[in-house]
Amino acid sequence: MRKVDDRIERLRRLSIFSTCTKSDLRKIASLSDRMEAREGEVLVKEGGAGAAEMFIIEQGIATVTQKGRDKGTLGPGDVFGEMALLDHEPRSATVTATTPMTLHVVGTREFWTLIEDVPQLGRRILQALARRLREAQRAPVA
Amino acid sequence: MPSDTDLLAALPLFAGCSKSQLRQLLNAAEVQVFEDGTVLAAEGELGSDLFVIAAGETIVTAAGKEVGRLSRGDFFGELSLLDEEPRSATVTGAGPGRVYRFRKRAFDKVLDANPKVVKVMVKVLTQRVRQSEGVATYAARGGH
Repeated sequence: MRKVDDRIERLRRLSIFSTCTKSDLRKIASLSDRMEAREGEVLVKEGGAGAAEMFIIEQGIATVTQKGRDKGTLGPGDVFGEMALLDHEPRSATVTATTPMTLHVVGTREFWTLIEDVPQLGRRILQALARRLREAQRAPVA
Repeated sequence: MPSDTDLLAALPLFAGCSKSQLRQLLNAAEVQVFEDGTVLAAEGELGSDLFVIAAGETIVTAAGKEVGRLSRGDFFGELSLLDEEPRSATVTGAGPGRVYRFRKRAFDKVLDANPKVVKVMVKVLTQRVRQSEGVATYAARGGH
C-alpha cells in the first residue's frame, strides 16, 4: 500500500498529471508497472515487433533516433511507444536512455482502460501525436 | 431527411458515441456553410478550432501545393486544436458544403466526457503519423 502511495506521489509531480485526482493517479499506478532503466539501455528499437507497451517517463532523459537520425530527446512527463501499442505495427523509432531512468510501463489492455478513465492521459497522447505529425509534414519530401 | 444527430453518428470520428453524447456534441458545435473558394483554415495562422465535414469537399494545400482532399466524415484542424501551434495547411472549400466547427474549449470538454472520441482520434493520428513519416525525409531538429 505504501508503495502505491509513493508512486501516486511521484506521478502527481509530473505536469501531465497535475490536474488528476488522487483516484485517477491510483488507477495509473495500479495499471502500470514501474521500471528502472540503465544509462545506454535501448527501451524500444525501430523496426522491432511492437511489444505492445507504452512508456511514461517519470525521471531521466532518453534520445529518439529514426533511420539513423537524431530526433530529439524525451524527459519527465513525456510518453512514447503508444503507436506500436495502438496499431501493432513495428516500432517507428529507437528510444535509448541517456541517463538512468524511471518509467511507468502500460500494456495494451491497461492503456484502453486508462484512456477511458483518465482523459488527461488521452489528451497528452493526442498532443504528442499532433506534434509528431506536424514535424513529419514539415520535413522536406525527398 | 436525416437529423443532425444521425449525421454525426455516421461520422467515423464519433462512432460509438451514445445518442446523448451526440446531442452534447451537437450543442458544442457551430455549423458553418462554405462555398467554392471559402478558406476554412489558413496555413501559418493561429486558430484552434476543429472542423468536421458534414457535406461537400475541401482541398488541403501546404506551401501552395495540393496535398489532399477531404470530404464528409473527415476532420481537420486537430493539430492546432491539440498543440495550439499555427495551422500546418490551408483548407479551402471545393464547391458548396457544410462543416461542424468545434471551439477548443468545447471540444476538450467533449473529449473529457467521451473517451471513445479520444480513442478514435488516437487511432487516426497514429495512422497519419505512420503515413507521413513513411514518405518524408527528415531534417534534423531539436525537441520532439
